[in-house]
Amino acid sequence: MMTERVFVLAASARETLGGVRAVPGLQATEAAGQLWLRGLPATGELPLAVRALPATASFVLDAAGRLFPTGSLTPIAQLPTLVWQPIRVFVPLELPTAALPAQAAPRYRVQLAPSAQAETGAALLTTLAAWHEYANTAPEIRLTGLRFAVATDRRVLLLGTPLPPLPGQEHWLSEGMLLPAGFDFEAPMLAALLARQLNPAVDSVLLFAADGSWERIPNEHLLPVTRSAVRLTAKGFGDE
Amino acid sequence: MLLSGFLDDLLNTGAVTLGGQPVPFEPADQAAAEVRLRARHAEDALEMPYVAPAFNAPAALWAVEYLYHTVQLTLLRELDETVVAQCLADFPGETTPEAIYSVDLTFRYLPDLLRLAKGLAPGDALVARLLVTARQWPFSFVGTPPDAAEAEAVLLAHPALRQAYIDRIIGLQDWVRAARPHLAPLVQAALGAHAATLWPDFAAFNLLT
Repeated sequence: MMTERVFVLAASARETLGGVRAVPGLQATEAAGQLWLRGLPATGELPLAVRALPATASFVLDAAGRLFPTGSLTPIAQLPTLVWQPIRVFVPLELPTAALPAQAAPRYRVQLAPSAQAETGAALLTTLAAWHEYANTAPEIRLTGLRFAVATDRRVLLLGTPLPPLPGQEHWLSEGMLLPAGFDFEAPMLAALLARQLNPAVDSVLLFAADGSWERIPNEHLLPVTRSAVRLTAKGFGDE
Repeated sequence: MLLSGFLDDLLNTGAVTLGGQPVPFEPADQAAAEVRLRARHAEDALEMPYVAPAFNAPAALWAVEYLYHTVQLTLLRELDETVVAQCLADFPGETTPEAIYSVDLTFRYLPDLLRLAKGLAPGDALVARLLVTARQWPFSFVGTPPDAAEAEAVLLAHPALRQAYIDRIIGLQDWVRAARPHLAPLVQAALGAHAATLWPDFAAFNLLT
């Protein structure tokens, strides 16, 4: 009694087995430079993918393990003892090599654009000299609502309200980021996303310039304003 | 070292230790207290607007002794008017900006003590004496009823004291002082265009008047 079909292919035809990976029940092995396939019923129409294989020989196997060439009543060989594997294991999937160079995810360059929207000022970028002079004589109530940080280049960032009437660049607050007054992100909808990307721990203030460049000021560097803090800071910079 | 120890406690912990009876302080104790007051002056001057008046040692020392005795008299209720007048004598020197600021280094604690004494016995000699002192030293007694404007003339003539005085009036929201004609413009100038947010009541009051 015939049990199943067996096909033999040249070892070089291994890649063609990719077309029959989805055929249920198919098993394969390699021996003596040849590929062997089995697992298809002895009768019935063969799937198209199987028929397309470049088989060098096809057999029908009987229960005794004898190989009958297709259409022949006489066996010509005994099926050798082989270690068979499911076709999906025998022909594993591999990622194809890209035909084109890989593309990196597109980078978004932050750009600011003039905005017609008037926003309330939340910060002022000024100079240490101007700030020191102001803090020396300003009413205390105009200082207590502010925090400040000084950069090594003597720029001073003031946050809070009311902002002092000093020369400098005023900034407004957008999603925790300070943008120059009169400017907004070219794509304002990205502000929240940008804030999460640039300041995920929300532990800093991001100060943007009109050209889109930005710098991070950690929150712990922003000191509550007292006259002594300003004076001692200025003294540290050599200003008395 | 009653006085210098008292000063240390006052400035560092706020819990003071006093002698059981009013007695004169030893010169060494006074000298040690002066050193501490001078250091306190240097530290405090950093918070003053403009340039703070210089340290006046006799005034500062007189003030801390006055404060010491006031605390004593607040606690020792059995002491009579004579002792009050003896312990809380007027400052013998001239009331200059330097004296005002040096006195204030410790006198700034007196308004709280005055309120405490008033609560204990509103009509006693100590309260009456403190109210007189409050009128003599308006810079240190913001929040208590002021005297005639003349008492403020010296401090208002000094830029640092004037600004610090206005700061205190705003900080304590001393309505009575802020409404006085010679002080209201100064308060308004300090608040600027932000009066409605910094001191809404003052802004509303100014709109009404």
